[in-house]
Amino acid sequence: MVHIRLSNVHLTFRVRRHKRIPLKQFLLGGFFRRSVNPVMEVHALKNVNLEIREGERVGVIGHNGAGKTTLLKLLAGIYPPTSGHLEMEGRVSTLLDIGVGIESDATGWANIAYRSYLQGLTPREVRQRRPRIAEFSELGEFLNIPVRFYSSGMLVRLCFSIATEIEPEILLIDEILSAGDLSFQEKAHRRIMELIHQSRLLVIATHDTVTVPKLCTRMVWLDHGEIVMQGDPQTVVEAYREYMTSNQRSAA
Amino acid sequence: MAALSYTAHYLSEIWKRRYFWLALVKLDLDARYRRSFLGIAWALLQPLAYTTVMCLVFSQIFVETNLGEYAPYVFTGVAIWGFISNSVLEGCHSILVGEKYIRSYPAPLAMYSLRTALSVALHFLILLAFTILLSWVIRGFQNLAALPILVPILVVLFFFSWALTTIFGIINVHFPDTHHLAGILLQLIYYLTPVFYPKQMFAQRGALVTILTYNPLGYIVELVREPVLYGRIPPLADFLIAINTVVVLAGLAIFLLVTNERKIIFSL
Repeated sequence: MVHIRLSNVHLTFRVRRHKRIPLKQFLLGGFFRRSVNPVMEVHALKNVNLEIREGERVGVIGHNGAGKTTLLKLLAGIYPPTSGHLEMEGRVSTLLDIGVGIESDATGWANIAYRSYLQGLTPREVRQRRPRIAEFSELGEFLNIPVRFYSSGMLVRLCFSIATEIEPEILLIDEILSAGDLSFQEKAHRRIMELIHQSRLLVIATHDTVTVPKLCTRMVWLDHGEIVMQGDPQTVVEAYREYMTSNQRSAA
Repeated sequence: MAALSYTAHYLSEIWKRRYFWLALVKLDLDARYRRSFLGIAWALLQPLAYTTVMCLVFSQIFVETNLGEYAPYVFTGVAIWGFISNSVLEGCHSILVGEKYIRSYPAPLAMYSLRTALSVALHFLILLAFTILLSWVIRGFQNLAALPILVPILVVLFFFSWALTTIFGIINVHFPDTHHLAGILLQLIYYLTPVFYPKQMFAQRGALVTILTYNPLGYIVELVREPVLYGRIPPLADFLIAINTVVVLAGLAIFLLVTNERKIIFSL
């Protein structure tokens, strides 16, 4: 049974003012280090309790920095929870930062292979899915040249085509991606909709309060890393909108 | 028991993604050889040039230098030293070059240093093959009987390289100046390792002999030189010292992996 269960999950980032400290400084002593490069704790997820069962489509809303992406990356297994318990069952596919994980010195074909191999596919499986990816990307001959020479639009096409050639059980999507030129965007949008309907469990982070809630069976509203409200999409979205407008008014 | 099943699971995850890291090793090799005009010859050029320079210098300083002896001696020294220093210096980037993948997909951290270790090792194998050829040309086939001993030696050397790439890869993520400090340190150790000077040269000088005795890298250099150049099986003691060194380093590498496996993403 495909499902996700988060119980009392906290995630804290320890950020330094200067990203990393030199070894020299570290060896010179902790006292010195603390004063020069203090650690700042960012509590990105606070006591998140969430249970999602098979068949559910969950939309996550909240303003920038509310913890939407962090939550998705936690579900994807990229970030471990600082405390609390995370239980997942099902094969996870993600559409998060689609541009990450591209080897720019390698050709388009090679990158298709790398990404598939990373997910544990065999050369035979890659040979099977490669034509579909190539066709969807419409890159043709360009797949033979290193990705370094691609335009940003071509790169998006490649990344998107690789990332979406999946049979998702659990699907995690961050925003609806705007990919490439207009005709490709429409195609990309259709592909995402297909995937959403194929998946057995969906979590999607979004700023869209119109289209996405209609797709979802439940909405979760995150604010400062905490779940403020969850439940029926329409109710949550309305409460969220009301909060945002009242916030804007008080700001003005 | 839990640790054991975790290890088994971890190793199977690495194995499951073998096509991934092997493909990246191939990419590394392509970058190193295919994209340069000279290809593999390019890999030989640097150690050959170095050997030539050292031969010229040494034959001027020590008139009695037998170049037929000395040239392959230096060449093997440079080849093995290159292997050690590449393990450290390329090792420093072993995790960072995998950053883009680590950020996008959860997978065992150890496979990124494995990739670097494999590309370093393959590069070394090419040089080693050439060394053996060189030794055949200069000294005949007298080393044939001893060559099979290279198989276990290479296994030890591979673990040695993997431990170094893992250790330096992880440390360099936390302390970005590790690469520079390691470069300086290697430069120092280079002169304390019999890479280009014959060991016997220092037989009479007490302090240096002591240092040479305690420098484990010296044994690693000798482990390859003995069979390849002299057709001798290296003494068991040398073998054990090398294995001990590898065990200590691998222990440290595994410790760093266990402590960093999940958390390194926050430092990238």
